[in-house]
Amino acid sequence: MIPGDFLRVLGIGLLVLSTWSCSGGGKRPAPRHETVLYTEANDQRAGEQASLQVGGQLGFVDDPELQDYVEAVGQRLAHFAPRGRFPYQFKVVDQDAPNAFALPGGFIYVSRGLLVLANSEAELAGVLGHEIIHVAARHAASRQALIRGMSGPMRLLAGGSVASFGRDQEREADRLGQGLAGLAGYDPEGLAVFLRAMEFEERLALGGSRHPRFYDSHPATSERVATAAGRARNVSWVPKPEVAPDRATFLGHTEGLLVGTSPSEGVFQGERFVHPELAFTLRFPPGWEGQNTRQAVGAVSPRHDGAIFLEHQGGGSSPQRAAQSFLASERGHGLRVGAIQPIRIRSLEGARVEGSASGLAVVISWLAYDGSIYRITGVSRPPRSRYEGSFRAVVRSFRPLAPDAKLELRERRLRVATARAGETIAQLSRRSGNTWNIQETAVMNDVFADVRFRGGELVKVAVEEDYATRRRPRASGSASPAP
Amino acid sequence: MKRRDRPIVNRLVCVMVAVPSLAGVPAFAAGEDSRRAAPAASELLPPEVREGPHHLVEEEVETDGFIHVFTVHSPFGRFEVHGGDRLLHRVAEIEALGLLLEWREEAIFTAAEERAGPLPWSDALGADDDFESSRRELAHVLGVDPYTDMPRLDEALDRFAWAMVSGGLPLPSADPARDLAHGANLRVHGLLRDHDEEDLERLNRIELAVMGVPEATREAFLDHPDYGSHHETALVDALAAMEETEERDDFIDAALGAESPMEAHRYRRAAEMMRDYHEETARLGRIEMLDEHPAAFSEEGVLVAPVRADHATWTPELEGLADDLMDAAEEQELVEEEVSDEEADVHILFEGSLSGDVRERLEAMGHRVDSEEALWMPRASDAGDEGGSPK
Repeated sequence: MIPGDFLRVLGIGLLVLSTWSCSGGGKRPAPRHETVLYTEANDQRAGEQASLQVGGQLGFVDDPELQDYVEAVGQRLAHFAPRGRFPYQFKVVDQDAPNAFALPGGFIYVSRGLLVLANSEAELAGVLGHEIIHVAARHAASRQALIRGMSGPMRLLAGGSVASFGRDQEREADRLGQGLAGLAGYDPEGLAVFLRAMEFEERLALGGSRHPRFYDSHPATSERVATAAGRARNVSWVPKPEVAPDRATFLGHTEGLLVGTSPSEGVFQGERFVHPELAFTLRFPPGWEGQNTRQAVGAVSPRHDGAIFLEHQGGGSSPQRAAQSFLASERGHGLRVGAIQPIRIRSLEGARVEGSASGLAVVISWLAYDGSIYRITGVSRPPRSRYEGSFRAVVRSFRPLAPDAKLELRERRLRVATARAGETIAQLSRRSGNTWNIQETAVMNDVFADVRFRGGELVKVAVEEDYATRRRPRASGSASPAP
Repeated sequence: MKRRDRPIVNRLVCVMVAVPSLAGVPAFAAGEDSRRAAPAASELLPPEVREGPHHLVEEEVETDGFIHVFTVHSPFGRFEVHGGDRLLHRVAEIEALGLLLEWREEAIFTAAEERAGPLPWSDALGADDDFESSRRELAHVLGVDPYTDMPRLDEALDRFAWAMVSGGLPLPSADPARDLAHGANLRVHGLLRDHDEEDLERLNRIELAVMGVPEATREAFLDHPDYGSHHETALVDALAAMEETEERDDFIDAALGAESPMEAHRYRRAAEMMRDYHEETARLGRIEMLDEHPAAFSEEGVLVAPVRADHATWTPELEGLADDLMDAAEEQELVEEEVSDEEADVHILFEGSLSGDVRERLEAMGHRVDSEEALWMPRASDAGDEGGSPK
């Protein structure tokens, strides 16, 4: 969670409520501005603007070595790409779902979840090639009319579906992306292999929370896998030495990556939200659906007619001044509130206002804690009394995190184990502390679930470890042979 | 399963495809010696193609048996144009040049040209991305190839693009009728507008790799002097659209043999005709080169061969092609008793009309002739004895 602007977060509330109100009225907020992608220069400007939002909203994996590696693979492909004038750049975003997307002008992103899933540099190259083609063919420009109704931040928050291109564009990106990979000396089958892994991973994830993924809005994955596999047999290519010369080196680059959500951005423990880095906790109403983004943490009522979000407004120690400053900055944007009332939550100073915005009842509270000002906004459909008690309870539940609470947090990291001859996945998992089940381990390693290893294979596993730091802890050397 | 006693000739079906341009294959490139009179231009061409503000197509037209040879008079010179599709392009270019020269007399252009200053030398212009993209946009609006081989139009495009980039001249809007030449392939014209030559070459290189064209052949094709950006892109784009068709690399291999821009154009059009058949009639499974003549087997086993013809007459070349097709079909054991009379084993695609003698010979031999009137221009007097009758 990082500082964000109020209207954006209020917009999340409005979006939630307007989703609820599909059968009962309600409007989606209009975007404030839009860059029309007429020319390559427009592409670059729009891409630069949106790339700042990507950094702010998703964040990047704090691992220069990994970032350099992905950049090196991307540049090798970009050397053969059309629109060589674009300053192609490649970054790893801190997102647990396997995802990749491109912004106009050459800004290309892969998620850490995608790198956890990938088993070879050729797979990564297939994905990057696909995204490069989206940029080079200026697919965003031709799709702009269809996404005009959504602002950039909304697109990201609503599912990272910046890559919501048309089916024909996706097919073109697959086809030319494989050709591009081939020209750069990568096996064009890499994309097919990765798509197949995505398909299996998606099946395993069914029933769990649905995240934005690389192939959202793409043609059916099974169709893409079959087409890409068939095409790969025909593409003319000559293998060239890869940036990571072998599987061990490739896995060495990805080893240590966080698997799943990152505690450093705060985690839900039931209704309780704990933020180890900002050292606070608070509790949301029972039964409400929690949402944690880098801008805000919040929860939405079961009927989607109320929402409450906490944001980090900035540094400071005076909630009164923070409230005044905020309300002044929002003047003219439709927010109407009464007088600022002082509040106190145990030892914490606070302030509170009540009012309305866009026809919704709004309650905003400010709390000063540890040199920062936190703003907690409750929005609901009228009457205000509907969730007033719930909103007050959330604010009252805010408190500093007990020193030992951090120690209770656990996280999962990608590790590499060396298989023994005749070993099964179950046996290897027991020995290495792997928390993935057999099917997950099979998919993550592109092997059959009933495989018996010959011995010596490097196998990716997800190991639960104490919560460490934001920075990714690495094993020494390349792919660490584990236990 | 038995072979037919009377082979493929009974199965030969000539399909005149409804496309706006005409092209052919090297086997039918005829010299001036074989030329003879064709119907008059006024009978062949719609009025706006025959005559425009800046051009007049000479009434007398010659034919080499397949392709009409037109003579176009204009203030910018006299042009001999081979083939209906090339006539459309040339007429569009002449009228575009005329339009640009008229615009140059207007105050808005004069002021913009003054602000822009003298045109830099060409290498400096080529390095200016804004200039290049403005020039391509202008060519697109005018309905002409930005890489035209007409020097005066080339120079006029330069001057206008320079006035746009450095003098603030807004992009002129042209009469939509100028888009006549775009009708052939909007996608390719879009690519020519959106990408510069280097980009197009990179895109084509990727497409060729996807088709399985080996690096040496790929690079030789991209370096071939007779395939400019337009022909190269159109040919590659057409083959790329037949994604599951095998042996497309053989087509590129053969296309390397083009020895003139005219031959390059013929290969391009052959690819486009096959693409149209693939998309609109039946999917093509495999390219089959008959010497240098491109052909393909459909997934149902029909042998398909595009033939360049504005107006085809029965010639030894056509008879020779029919023989080649029969041989190829027989080699593939396509001629089988089970094939019903309603089905064809061989389709020859003509992009125009068939003369009476071709039709008579084929029908007398028991062929079925499916004809569709070519849409690129109405044929006022050609529906009778001399022409393919429209459905």
